Amino acid sequence: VPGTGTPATQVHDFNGGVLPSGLFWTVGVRRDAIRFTDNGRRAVFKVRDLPVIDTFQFGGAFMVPALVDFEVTWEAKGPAATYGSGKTVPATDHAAFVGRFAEAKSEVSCSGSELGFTFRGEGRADHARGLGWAHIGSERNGAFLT
Amino acid sequence: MPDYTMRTRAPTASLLGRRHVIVASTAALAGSVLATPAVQAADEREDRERGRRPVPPAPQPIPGGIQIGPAPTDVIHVWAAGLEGVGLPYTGGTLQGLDYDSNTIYSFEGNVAVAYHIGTAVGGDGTRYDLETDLRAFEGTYIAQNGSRHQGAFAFI
Repeated sequence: VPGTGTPATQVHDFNGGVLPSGLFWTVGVRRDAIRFTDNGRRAVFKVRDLPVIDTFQFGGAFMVPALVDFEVTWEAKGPAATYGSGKTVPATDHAAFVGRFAEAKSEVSCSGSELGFTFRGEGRADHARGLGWAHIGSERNGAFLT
Repeated sequence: MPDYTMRTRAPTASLLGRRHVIVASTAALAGSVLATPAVQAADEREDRERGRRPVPPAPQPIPGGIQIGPAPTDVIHVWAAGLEGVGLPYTGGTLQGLDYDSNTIYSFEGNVAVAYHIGTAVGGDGTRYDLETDLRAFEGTYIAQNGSRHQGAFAFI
Protein backbone atom coordinates (compact mmCIF):
# COMPACT_ATOMS: atom_id res chain seq x y z
CA VAL A 1 0.00 0.00 0.00
CA PRO A 2 2.38 2.67 -1.21
CA GLY A 3 1.91 6.09 0.20
CA THR A 4 0.42 5.11 3.51
CA GLY A 5 2.15 5.23 6.82
CA THR A 6 1.84 3.91 10.30
CA PRO A 7 -0.94 5.89 11.95
CA ALA A 8 0.46 8.32 14.44
CA THR A 9 -2.14 7.16 16.90
CA GLN A 10 -1.27 3.46 16.66
CA VAL A 11 -0.26 2.33 20.11
CA HIS A 12 -0.22 -1.48 19.97
CA ASP A 13 0.73 -4.00 17.31
CA PHE A 14 0.34 -7.62 18.39
CA ASN A 15 1.96 -10.03 15.98
CA GLY A 16 3.67 -13.39 15.73
CA GLY A 17 7.12 -12.04 14.94
CA VAL A 18 9.46 -13.03 12.13
CA LEU A 19 11.62 -16.16 12.09
CA PRO A 20 15.21 -15.97 10.78
CA SER A 21 13.94 -17.88 7.72
CA GLY A 22 11.61 -14.98 6.97
CA LEU A 23 8.44 -16.79 8.03
CA PHE A 24 6.30 -13.79 8.77
CA TRP A 25 3.89 -13.36 11.70
CA THR A 26 3.08 -17.09 11.58
CA VAL A 27 2.85 -19.16 14.74
CA GLY A 28 2.10 -22.80 15.32
CA VAL A 29 -1.03 -23.64 17.26
CA ARG A 30 -2.57 -26.84 18.54
CA ARG A 31 -4.18 -28.90 15.80
CA ASP A 32 -7.54 -28.63 17.53
CA ALA A 33 -7.33 -24.83 17.71
CA ILE A 34 -8.49 -24.54 14.10
CA ARG A 35 -11.51 -26.42 12.79
CA PHE A 36 -12.83 -26.26 9.25
CA THR A 37 -16.30 -27.73 8.75
CA ASP A 38 -19.12 -27.83 6.22
CA ASN A 39 -16.79 -28.76 3.36
CA GLY A 40 -14.46 -25.96 4.26
CA ARG A 41 -17.16 -23.27 4.25
CA ARG A 42 -16.99 -22.59 7.98
CA ALA A 43 -14.07 -22.34 10.34
CA VAL A 44 -13.38 -21.59 13.97
CA PHE A 45 -10.03 -20.57 15.38
CA LYS A 46 -9.91 -20.54 19.14
CA VAL A 47 -6.79 -20.12 21.21
CA ARG A 48 -5.93 -18.94 24.70
CA ASP A 49 -2.71 -17.50 26.08
CA LEU A 50 -0.96 -17.56 22.73
CA PRO A 51 2.50 -16.01 23.07
CA VAL A 52 3.04 -13.11 20.67
CA ILE A 53 4.92 -9.81 20.73
CA ASP A 54 3.65 -6.26 20.84
CA THR A 55 5.79 -4.03 18.63
CA PHE A 56 3.54 -1.04 19.40
CA GLN A 57 3.67 0.08 15.77
CA PHE A 58 4.15 -1.91 12.57
CA GLY A 59 7.84 -2.77 12.37
CA GLY A 60 8.51 -0.93 15.59
CA ALA A 61 11.95 -1.11 17.15
CA PHE A 62 10.59 -1.97 20.59
CA MET A 63 8.77 -5.15 21.49
CA VAL A 64 7.45 -6.84 24.57
CA PRO A 65 6.09 -10.35 25.08
CA ALA A 66 2.34 -10.62 25.32
CA LEU A 67 -0.34 -13.29 25.61
CA VAL A 68 -3.49 -13.10 23.50
CA ASP A 69 -6.76 -15.00 23.32
CA PHE A 70 -8.70 -15.23 20.06
CA GLU A 71 -12.00 -16.70 19.04
CA VAL A 72 -12.56 -16.17 15.35
CA THR A 73 -15.37 -17.57 13.19
CA TRP A 74 -15.67 -17.62 9.42
CA GLU A 75 -18.74 -18.44 7.35
CA ALA A 76 -18.69 -18.49 3.56
CA LYS A 77 -21.28 -16.24 1.95
CA GLY A 78 -21.26 -17.32 -1.66
CA PRO A 79 -19.83 -19.78 -4.15
CA ALA A 80 -16.13 -20.46 -4.29
CA ALA A 81 -14.04 -19.49 -7.27
CA THR A 82 -10.61 -20.58 -8.40
CA TYR A 83 -7.66 -18.22 -8.03
CA GLY A 84 -3.94 -18.35 -8.68
CA SER A 85 -1.74 -19.32 -11.59
CA GLY A 86 0.12 -22.28 -10.11
CA LYS A 87 3.41 -23.19 -11.74
CA THR A 88 2.87 -20.97 -14.76
CA VAL A 89 4.44 -18.10 -12.81
CA PRO A 90 7.69 -17.92 -10.80
CA ALA A 91 7.57 -19.04 -7.17
CA THR A 92 8.08 -15.43 -6.10
CA ASP A 93 4.98 -14.29 -7.95
CA HIS A 94 1.90 -13.34 -5.95
CA ALA A 95 -0.14 -15.84 -7.95
CA ALA A 96 2.17 -18.83 -7.37
CA PHE A 97 -0.62 -20.92 -5.88
CA VAL A 98 -3.89 -22.55 -6.83
CA GLY A 99 -6.85 -22.19 -4.54
CA ARG A 100 -10.61 -22.04 -4.30
CA PHE A 101 -11.97 -19.32 -2.08
CA ALA A 102 -15.36 -17.90 -1.21
CA GLU A 103 -16.09 -14.52 0.29
CA ALA A 104 -16.94 -14.92 3.96
CA LYS A 105 -18.09 -13.01 6.97
CA SER A 106 -16.08 -13.28 10.13
CA GLU A 107 -16.22 -12.21 13.73
CA VAL A 108 -13.47 -11.97 16.31
CA SER A 109 -13.43 -11.72 20.08
CA CYS A 110 -10.02 -11.15 21.52
CA SER A 111 -8.20 -10.19 24.65
CA GLY A 112 -4.61 -9.84 25.64
CA SER A 113 -2.18 -8.88 28.30
CA GLU A 114 1.36 -7.71 28.66
CA LEU A 115 3.31 -5.97 31.38
CA GLY A 116 1.22 -2.95 32.31
CA PHE A 117 -1.55 -3.36 29.74
CA THR A 118 -4.62 -5.50 29.13
CA PHE A 119 -7.39 -5.23 26.57
CA ARG A 120 -10.55 -6.84 25.29
CA GLY A 121 -11.88 -6.32 21.80
CA GLU A 122 -14.40 -7.35 19.21
CA GLY A 123 -14.53 -6.93 15.48
CA ARG A 124 -16.32 -7.99 12.33
CA ALA A 125 -15.33 -8.56 8.76
CA ASP A 126 -18.27 -8.29 6.39
CA HIS A 127 -17.64 -6.54 3.11
CA ALA A 128 -21.36 -6.05 2.44
CA ARG A 129 -21.52 -3.92 5.57
CA GLY A 130 -18.36 -2.02 4.76
CA LEU A 131 -16.39 -3.82 7.44
CA GLY A 132 -13.09 -5.13 6.13
CA TRP A 133 -12.97 -8.37 4.23
CA ALA A 134 -12.87 -12.14 4.80
CA HIS A 135 -12.51 -15.23 2.66
CA ILE A 136 -12.26 -18.96 3.25
CA GLY A 137 -11.24 -21.95 1.18
CA SER A 138 -8.36 -24.20 0.36
CA GLU A 139 -5.15 -23.90 -1.59
CA ARG A 140 -1.83 -25.44 -2.44
CA ASN A 141 1.51 -23.94 -3.36
CA GLY A 142 5.17 -24.82 -3.70
CA ALA A 143 5.88 -28.53 -3.98
CA PHE A 144 2.16 -29.32 -4.05
CA LEU A 145 1.68 -27.61 -7.39
CA THR A 146 1.52 -30.05 -10.28
CA MET B 1 -14.44 8.29 18.27
CA PRO B 2 -11.69 6.35 19.97
CA ASP B 3 -8.42 8.19 20.29
CA TYR B 4 -6.08 5.32 19.59
CA THR B 5 -5.53 2.56 17.11
CA MET B 6 -4.36 -0.95 17.78
CA ARG B 7 -4.06 -3.80 15.39
CA THR B 8 -2.87 -6.91 13.98
CA ARG B 9 -3.26 -5.53 10.52
CA ALA B 10 -2.48 -5.98 6.90
CA PRO B 11 1.23 -5.46 6.37
CA THR B 12 2.04 -2.74 3.92
CA ALA B 13 5.17 -1.99 2.02
CA SER B 14 5.60 1.56 3.13
CA LEU B 15 5.12 0.99 6.82
CA LEU B 16 8.37 -0.80 7.51
CA GLY B 17 11.59 0.98 6.72
CA ARG B 18 14.66 -0.82 5.45
CA ARG B 19 16.64 0.06 8.55
CA HIS B 20 14.14 -1.68 10.76
CA VAL B 21 14.33 -4.81 8.69
CA ILE B 22 18.12 -4.91 8.69
CA VAL B 23 18.39 -4.24 12.40
CA ALA B 24 15.68 -6.72 13.28
CA SER B 25 17.07 -9.38 10.96
CA THR B 26 20.61 -9.01 12.26
CA ALA B 27 19.50 -9.28 15.86
CA ALA B 28 17.34 -12.30 15.16
CA LEU B 29 20.08 -14.09 13.25
CA ALA B 30 22.70 -13.45 15.93
CA GLY B 31 20.37 -14.73 18.59
CA SER B 32 19.60 -17.80 16.57
CA VAL B 33 23.22 -18.68 15.92
CA LEU B 34 24.16 -18.32 19.56
CA ALA B 35 21.16 -20.00 21.05
CA THR B 36 20.05 -22.72 18.69
CA PRO B 37 22.37 -25.66 19.56
CA ALA B 38 21.94 -25.28 23.30
CA VAL B 39 18.22 -24.64 23.09
CA GLN B 40 17.67 -27.53 20.72
CA ALA B 41 19.62 -29.93 22.90
CA ALA B 42 17.73 -28.78 25.97
CA ASP B 43 14.40 -29.10 24.19
CA GLU B 44 15.18 -32.60 22.97
CA ARG B 45 16.33 -33.67 26.44
CA GLU B 46 13.19 -32.19 27.99
CA ASP B 47 11.05 -33.88 25.37
CA ARG B 48 12.59 -37.24 26.17
CA GLU B 49 12.24 -36.72 29.89
CA ARG B 50 8.62 -35.75 29.64
CA GLY B 51 7.76 -38.28 26.96
CA ARG B 52 6.69 -35.56 24.57
CA ARG B 53 6.96 -35.73 20.83
CA PRO B 54 9.64 -33.44 19.41
CA VAL B 55 8.41 -30.21 17.89
CA PRO B 56 8.16 -30.54 14.10
CA PRO B 57 10.32 -28.24 12.00
CA ALA B 58 8.95 -24.85 11.10
CA PRO B 59 7.36 -24.31 7.70
CA GLN B 60 9.18 -22.41 4.98
CA PRO B 61 8.05 -18.89 4.12
CA ILE B 62 6.60 -18.19 0.70
CA PRO B 63 9.42 -16.94 -1.56
CA GLY B 64 7.50 -13.86 -2.65
CA GLY B 65 5.96 -11.03 -0.74
CA ILE B 66 5.66 -7.32 -0.38
CA GLN B 67 8.73 -5.34 -1.35
CA ILE B 68 9.49 -2.85 1.40
CA GLY B 69 12.78 -1.44 0.19
CA PRO B 70 15.09 -1.21 -2.80
CA ALA B 71 17.22 -4.31 -2.13
CA PRO B 72 16.03 -7.71 -3.36
CA THR B 73 16.05 -8.95 0.23
CA ASP B 74 13.79 -6.15 1.45
CA VAL B 75 10.72 -8.35 1.36
CA ILE B 76 8.18 -9.37 3.94
CA HIS B 77 6.91 -12.77 2.97
CA VAL B 78 3.19 -12.09 2.90
CA TRP B 79 0.65 -10.59 0.53
CA ALA B 80 -2.37 -8.51 1.50
CA ALA B 81 -4.71 -11.04 -0.11
CA GLY B 82 -8.34 -10.04 -0.43
CA LEU B 83 -10.75 -8.28 -2.72
CA GLU B 84 -8.70 -5.80 -4.69
CA GLY B 85 -9.19 -2.22 -3.58
CA VAL B 86 -10.87 -2.87 -0.24
CA GLY B 87 -9.53 -0.27 2.15
CA LEU B 88 -8.81 -0.68 5.82
CA PRO B 89 -9.90 2.37 7.76
CA TYR B 90 -7.38 2.77 10.54
CA THR B 91 -4.11 1.76 8.91
CA GLY B 92 -5.03 3.02 5.46
CA GLY B 93 -4.04 -0.30 3.91
CA THR B 94 -5.57 -1.55 0.66
CA LEU B 95 -6.02 -5.21 -0.22
CA GLN B 96 -4.14 -6.38 -3.30
CA GLY B 97 -6.47 -8.94 -4.87
CA LEU B 98 -7.67 -12.51 -4.64
CA ASP B 99 -5.00 -13.70 -7.07
CA TYR B 100 -2.49 -12.96 -4.31
CA ASP B 101 -1.54 -15.94 -2.16
CA SER B 102 -3.34 -15.84 1.19
CA ASN B 103 -0.73 -18.07 2.76
CA THR B 104 2.61 -17.29 4.37
CA ILE B 105 3.68 -20.95 4.28
CA TYR B 106 5.42 -22.40 1.23
CA SER B 107 4.81 -25.95 0.04
CA PHE B 108 1.46 -26.09 1.77
CA GLU B 109 -1.76 -27.86 0.92
CA GLY B 110 -4.85 -27.39 3.03
CA ASN B 111 -7.50 -25.06 4.34
CA VAL B 112 -7.08 -21.32 4.68
CA ALA B 113 -9.21 -18.60 6.24
CA VAL B 114 -8.44 -14.87 6.17
CA ALA B 115 -10.12 -11.94 7.91
CA TYR B 116 -9.47 -8.23 8.20
CA HIS B 117 -11.73 -7.27 11.09
CA ILE B 118 -12.80 -3.80 12.06
CA GLY B 119 -13.90 -3.17 15.61
CA THR B 120 -13.15 -1.66 18.97
CA ALA B 121 -11.21 -2.61 22.05
CA VAL B 122 -11.17 -1.46 25.62
CA GLY B 123 -8.06 -1.31 27.74
CA GLY B 124 -7.96 -2.42 31.32
CA ASP B 125 -8.10 1.23 32.38
CA GLY B 126 -11.22 1.86 30.31
CA THR B 127 -9.49 3.56 27.39
CA ARG B 128 -11.24 2.86 24.08
CA TYR B 129 -9.29 1.89 20.98
CA ASP B 130 -10.01 1.31 17.32
CA LEU B 131 -9.21 -2.28 16.41
CA GLU B 132 -8.08 -3.59 13.03
CA THR B 133 -6.86 -7.13 12.39
CA ASP B 134 -5.24 -9.29 9.78
CA LEU B 135 -5.91 -12.78 11.11
CA ARG B 136 -5.43 -15.94 9.10
CA ALA B 137 -5.73 -19.64 9.90
CA PHE B 138 -3.92 -22.40 8.04
CA GLU B 139 -4.53 -26.12 8.57
CA GLY B 140 -3.03 -28.80 6.39
CA THR B 141 0.13 -30.46 5.13
CA TYR B 142 3.44 -28.68 4.68
CA ILE B 143 6.93 -29.60 3.63
CA ALA B 144 9.70 -28.26 5.84
CA GLN B 145 13.09 -27.01 4.72
CA ASN B 146 14.63 -30.47 5.16
CA GLY B 147 12.04 -32.02 2.87
CA SER B 148 10.06 -33.72 5.61
CA ARG B 149 6.27 -33.67 5.40
CA HIS B 150 4.09 -32.67 8.35
CA GLN B 151 0.53 -31.95 9.34
CA GLY B 152 0.04 -28.69 11.19
CA ALA B 153 -2.14 -25.80 12.21
CA PHE B 154 -0.91 -22.24 12.11
CA ALA B 155 -2.20 -18.77 12.73
CA PHE B 156 -1.06 -15.58 11.07
CA ILE B 157 -1.24 -12.87 13.69
